[in-house]
Amino acid sequence: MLLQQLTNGLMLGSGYSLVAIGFNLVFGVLGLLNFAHGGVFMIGAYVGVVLIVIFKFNIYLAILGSMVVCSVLGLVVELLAFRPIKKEHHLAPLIATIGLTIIIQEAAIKVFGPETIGFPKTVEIQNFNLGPVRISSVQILIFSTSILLMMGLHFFIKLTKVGKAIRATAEDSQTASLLGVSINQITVLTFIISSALAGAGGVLIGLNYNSVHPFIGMNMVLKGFVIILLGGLGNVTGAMFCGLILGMIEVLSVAYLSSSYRDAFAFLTMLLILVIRPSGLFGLRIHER
Amino acid sequence: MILYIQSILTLIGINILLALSFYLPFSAGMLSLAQAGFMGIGAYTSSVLTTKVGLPFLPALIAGGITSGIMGIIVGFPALRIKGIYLLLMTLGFGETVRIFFLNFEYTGGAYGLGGIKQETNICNLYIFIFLLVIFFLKITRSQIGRTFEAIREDEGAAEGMGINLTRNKIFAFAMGASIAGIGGGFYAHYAQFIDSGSFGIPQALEIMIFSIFGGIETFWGSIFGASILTILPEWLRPLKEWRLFFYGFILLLMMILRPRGIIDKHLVGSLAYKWKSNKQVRN
Amino acid sequence: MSKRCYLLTIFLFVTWILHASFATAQVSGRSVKMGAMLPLTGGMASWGKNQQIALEIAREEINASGGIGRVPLEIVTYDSQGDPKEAINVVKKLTQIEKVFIILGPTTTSECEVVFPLANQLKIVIVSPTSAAPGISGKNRPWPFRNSRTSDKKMDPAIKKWIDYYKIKTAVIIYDAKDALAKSEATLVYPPILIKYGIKILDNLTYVTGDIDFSAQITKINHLSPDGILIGGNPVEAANIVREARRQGMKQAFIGGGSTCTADLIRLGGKDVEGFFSGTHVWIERPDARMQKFVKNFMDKGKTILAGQKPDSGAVCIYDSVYITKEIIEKAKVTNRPDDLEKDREKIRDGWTNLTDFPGITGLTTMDKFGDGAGDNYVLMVKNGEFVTVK
Repeated sequence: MLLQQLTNGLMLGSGYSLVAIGFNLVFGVLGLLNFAHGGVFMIGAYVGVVLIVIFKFNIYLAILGSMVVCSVLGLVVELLAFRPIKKEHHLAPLIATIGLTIIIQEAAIKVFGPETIGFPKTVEIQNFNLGPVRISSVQILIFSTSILLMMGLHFFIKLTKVGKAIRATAEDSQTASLLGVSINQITVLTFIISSALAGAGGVLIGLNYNSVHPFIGMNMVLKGFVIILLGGLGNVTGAMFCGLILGMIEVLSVAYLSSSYRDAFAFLTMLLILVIRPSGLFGLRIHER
Repeated sequence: MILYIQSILTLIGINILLALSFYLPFSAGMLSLAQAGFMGIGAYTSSVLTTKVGLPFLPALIAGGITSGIMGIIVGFPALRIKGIYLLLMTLGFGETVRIFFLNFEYTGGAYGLGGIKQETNICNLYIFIFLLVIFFLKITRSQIGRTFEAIREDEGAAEGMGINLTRNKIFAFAMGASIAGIGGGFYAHYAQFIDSGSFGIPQALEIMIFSIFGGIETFWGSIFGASILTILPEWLRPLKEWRLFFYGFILLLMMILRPRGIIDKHLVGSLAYKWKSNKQVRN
Repeated sequence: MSKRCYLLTIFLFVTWILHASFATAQVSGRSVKMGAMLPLTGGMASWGKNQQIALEIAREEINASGGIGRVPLEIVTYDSQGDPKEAINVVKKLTQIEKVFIILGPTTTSECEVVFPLANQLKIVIVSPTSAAPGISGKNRPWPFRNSRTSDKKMDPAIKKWIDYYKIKTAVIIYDAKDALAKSEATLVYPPILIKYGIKILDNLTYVTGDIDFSAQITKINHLSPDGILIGGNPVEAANIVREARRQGMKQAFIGGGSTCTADLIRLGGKDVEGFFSGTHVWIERPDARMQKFVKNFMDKGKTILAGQKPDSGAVCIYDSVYITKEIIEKAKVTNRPDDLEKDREKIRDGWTNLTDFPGITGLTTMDKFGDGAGDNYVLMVKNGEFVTVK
């Protein structure tokens, strides 16, 4: 049973990672806890449903479509909640994103209704037995898509010139701009990438868990908080691994302890890590903002 | 009509206490999202003391505040090394742990909550307490402690270099904030007559932070103002029915763009105080 | 007919007309006001929206046929967000400023716990159409009521039929640890019933409201290999629990509490929930003309761009509650004069206290001495995407 539970955790974690990476990217580069990330994730799930049900897209096109729509939404978030507020105010953007999240949620309720809807059955669910472990085709899809997107982002940041500019901005935005990096452009790009990933995450998680409602983003943002702390603030690779780790911690604590304490477990782990190793499990630099 | 207005005023009073409980550590540079958790500790402690042990309200209330304060000291020590956003997330984690603890703690009702609490909160005892708290804050702001907090908030390293004992001051601010939240919790419990863990979670923690920051981060008057306005706002917006929350979010967003430091700033307080003082002189 | 017979008939006829008009003309004023507190925003908004639609249907129907005692019905609805703090304000506002006769709602048990003592202080009837955790009305007599059925009444016959139908000998219980109703069902209601029928309980597992991943729990249950699984919680999580079980290859039978017995379960569970049992007083597929008319109206009114919605138990029960109150107002000769407000409210309280066998769309409804509903219950099973009764 242990192997199956670990696999369960890995699958759950891959979904978390996908969403947390974008969240962590924005924080690392811009120093902003973008609460609206959860709202974008939720809209991504709904867009997926609409594209499949009304426009008869298949799942891959739906993911793509959702990423596109969410990129635009991410741009809107940047324009409304980030750009108009001067950098020296740390908390105002956080509250602005909270306000924006409320607006996005209420808009979703108006358009789609407040009830939970299921994800349309587009992918034929087959189950595979790998030894003692049972995985479904959907889970494989999610896991592989997440890993693909995360690897893509990783190489983008490590190898391309733009990626280097992003890293430079994250390190020290003043010096970066002196060296010719357009901070505005990098900001916009960061938001777009982060939101596109959230959109993909929304479709995939909606598909796997069959529950889409206007409040699914809230829970994701909280997981995102825990993951970026665990993984080291601003560390994208760290976020990826810690998403998987969080998934496994949650599943194992439910399997072997009690599920009522599951969330507490995640937070307690986070608290312990903070006290012992404030830079996070993978963090190499301490960001002070 | 009267009871309804009393209700609103009571809620405003409780929210003022909570907003001030956030503001105190904030003025010393500590961002705490744990105030909802401390509120819960105070609420449950005072309720258990009045319902199961039979203590009268005031001692139970103070005991609730003291218990929260002690928890504040305990949490405050590991929080010393942690700054900014890290602290925000750590306190969030602590608050959630408290909520989940009470969700599972059978003695105080667990998921069923704790009911049968006597109605003890009234405008009188609540606002007397707020009045005393305002005097406390006025004293702090104008005294050495206030300047110490400001120094710590601006630059911890420099403050330490000047001889300020970071540990003592930060723990004091954090623990006092926790006890004020605990007292707010006690007042809330004896107003609603029933509490469960759902009342002390992340939405409430965020709400408390928003009271303070929306109202104004430069003085403690901002927190009082923010708590009052944001408590009344949902009532004003009632005619909007289902659009209520939408407008609430919209107002938050707008205010942060227009006045990121909150509505009340030092200027405003200064000019109001100046007007009041000069009127006093003219009358004399 | 003889002349005396004729005169007698006319005399009776005239007396009857005078009596009828006299009785109904007693309700004065421009409108009869009922209050409603619903979670129109926040996490419980789907419940609030459904109840709002149901209230609108009831109001339109009643006013189309002349109102209450020939005075139009007005329902004042306030949003309580499912939040106990808001609930206190809403109750006071409705009672003292809007001066309504009765307050329908609230939806969540937390709100009920806070608001029911207030009902006694303010002396106004509050009727919750959804709360079903045991004991809440009982400890707050005499003003609050709940037009729902507590779990023990519904689940005993349901569990018995489920055990017989699927030949169950061993069972596992999984429930929502954050929800007071689910917890009471799973820890206080199910175990005694199961023990009574000689079923061995292998384990108790939990999850939390809002969970989407149940792989850990299902893997654990799979390992235990029970004959059947009982769920305490929401239809959304229940549907996903069953889906996950089927995904992991489990073929066991499921049964859920009354709150799972809604169209949401079928909508989200699809083919996986075929054969799911439950016990409820709200059977939407009930072959009753009024119920079906209500369901049809409801689906027409509740359309969004993605689907039409079937009513949930809150919507159905609040609809019945409006009609129950209407009948009480007419029968008890509520005057609707401002000076009589206190007395009128007392008449409504007495009407609800003595409610016996009211023919609602749920079936017959009676209020028991604890202020909880009693009456028709159904044991239902999902078959071909609908709930049907079990023989």
